[in-house]
Amino acid sequence: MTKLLNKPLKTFIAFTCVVLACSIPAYFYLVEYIWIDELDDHNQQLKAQIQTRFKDATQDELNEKIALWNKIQGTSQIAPLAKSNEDSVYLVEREILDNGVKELERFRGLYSTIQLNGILYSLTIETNVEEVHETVFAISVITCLFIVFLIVGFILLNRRLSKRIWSPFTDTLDKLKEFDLNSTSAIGFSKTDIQEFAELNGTLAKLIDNNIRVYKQQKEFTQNASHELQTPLALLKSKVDLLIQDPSLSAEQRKIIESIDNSISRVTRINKNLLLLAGIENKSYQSGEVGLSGLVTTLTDTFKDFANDRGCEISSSIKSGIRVKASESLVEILISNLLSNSVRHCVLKSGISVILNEQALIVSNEGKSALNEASLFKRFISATTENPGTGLGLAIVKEICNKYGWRVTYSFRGNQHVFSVFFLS
Amino acid sequence: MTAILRFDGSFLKIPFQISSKFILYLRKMKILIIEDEKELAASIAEYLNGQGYHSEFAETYSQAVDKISVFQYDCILLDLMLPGGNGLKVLEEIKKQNKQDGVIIISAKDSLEDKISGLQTGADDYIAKPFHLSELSARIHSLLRRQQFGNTNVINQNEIQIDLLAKTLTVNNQPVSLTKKEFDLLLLFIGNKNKVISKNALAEHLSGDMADMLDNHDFVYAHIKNLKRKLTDAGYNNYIKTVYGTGYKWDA
Repeated sequence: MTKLLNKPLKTFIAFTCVVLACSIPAYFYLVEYIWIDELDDHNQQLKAQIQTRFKDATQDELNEKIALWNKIQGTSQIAPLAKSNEDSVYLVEREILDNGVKELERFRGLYSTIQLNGILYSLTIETNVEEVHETVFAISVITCLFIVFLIVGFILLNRRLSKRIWSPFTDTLDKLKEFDLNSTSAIGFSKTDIQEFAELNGTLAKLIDNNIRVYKQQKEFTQNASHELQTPLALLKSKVDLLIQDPSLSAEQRKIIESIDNSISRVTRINKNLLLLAGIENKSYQSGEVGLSGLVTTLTDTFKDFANDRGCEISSSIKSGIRVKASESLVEILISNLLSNSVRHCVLKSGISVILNEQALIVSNEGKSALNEASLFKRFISATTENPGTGLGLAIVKEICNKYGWRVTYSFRGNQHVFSVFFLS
Repeated sequence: MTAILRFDGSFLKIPFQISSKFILYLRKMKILIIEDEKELAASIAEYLNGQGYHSEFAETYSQAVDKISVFQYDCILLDLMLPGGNGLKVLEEIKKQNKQDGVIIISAKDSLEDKISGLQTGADDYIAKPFHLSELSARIHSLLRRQQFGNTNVINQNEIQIDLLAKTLTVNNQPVSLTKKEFDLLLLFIGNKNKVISKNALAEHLSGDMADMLDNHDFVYAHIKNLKRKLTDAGYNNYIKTVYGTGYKWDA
């Protein structure tokens, strides 16, 4: 994954490279033009100087001066001429000795006809011009240097910019990551003067508010529906209790009534758990210091009876003095749901182990095959068809863990279903 | 004072002095059912009347307040959600008038907050709807026992003697050791004499808040079997009868 700002950066860098690469010949021709132009000027000036210096001299003096000139000036020659020629300029490469090494040098030449003492002379002035490859090399080096500066600058600026410009965005993102619909508190996005982000935040806030409202409504609905069910259920239960007192009931009728009673019992439990689930986030669960060690010990003892009924042994290793900050009744529900889950699903005549330490509460029991972890903590999904419960026990465990920021995990190791609740997030 | 009596009303030994409390116990216990759901109130009354109680009704807040101001009840069953006012207000009224009536809250609101505020205001017990009538009857029985016999609370029935405070059982003066669950079962039976108690009611009574254990009736069967065996071994006639396909019954 690339960052958003890195995408244009790559294009910008490529474009910069192309433009600067194109600038190399442009600079070269410009420099070359200026060079040649300057040298032509220079050669013309030299010509003018010669004409002024050699003026007003006798023929002998002139001949002497010309000989001397030709002798010192390797590249500039004056020679007598029979007929006047057009002036011309040219470029030429010659081998010359430089510190004893033969080198090919480039020269700009001026061929001109001058008149001294009424005699026509040809004047050749040649001035050293920088080599083409040297110029190109120098320009390329400088251009490359600039390219490097630009790229480094772009990257650094991009990094700083992305941090600064995107800070409202990352802020929003962090808040969204932390958002928990369960907490039903809206997100307070920070103010930004960037229109796009302001719009994004506004839309998100609206979306979240809507979700919270719907979620609350749904929760309230569950709660209200469950409450409303309590009284008819109570009525049903009481009528069945009265009905079974009738001594004239036949065996058939009793069987029917029993299955009715079992169903009522089941609905009652589901309803109770639904109410609990909907109410976990309620403020009525006041948090306080809960002596976890004591609670786990007591509940483990309570469940020993149930476990013994299934021929199971509960072994426990409970570290004393462990406390958490939570609601005692919720923690009690959490522990007993985990324990009852283990007792209910343990293989007959096997062991159940309960371990409590500073980090976690671990309840494990023997099982045949691994359960589907993804759906294990969802509502109304029983992992097995044997001995099904209300399908809400583990959902409640998960919900309680969510409330306190604990983590509940399931794993299947060495034929053991292991449920762990980690208290430190 | 030691009060030794047969729970069905007849009694073998007359205590040394007949206290007012004792006389109170001889008459029918009066129960006020404050509940707006008429059918439910009728069911409760039918069951309790079969247990030898006398029930009266109140459906609204004002009816309830009227009745408690004029009459005295041994036990008041109080629904918290009443037309015309909160049930807790009725409770406050009872306490304000310095009434000694025992109060059991029966509420559809199974929230901890209500339970705590109810008990803090002075209710003696709290039972969440929906409940089994046998459970309610056992709670009423236990509440009345607590009220009538404060310090020594011993139930005598034929050969057996149950000390409710020490939680011990003696049969023919021989102590019988019971587990906590067996003792709980015994109390449920004692509070529902001659009534058929369904397996679900027994299971709920045994597992208390561990609601998710209830669907397994095997453990009910196991505990009843143990209790029966212990009672029979100690020489007590088998009063726990199996009602086929339904549950169990304590034949007194």
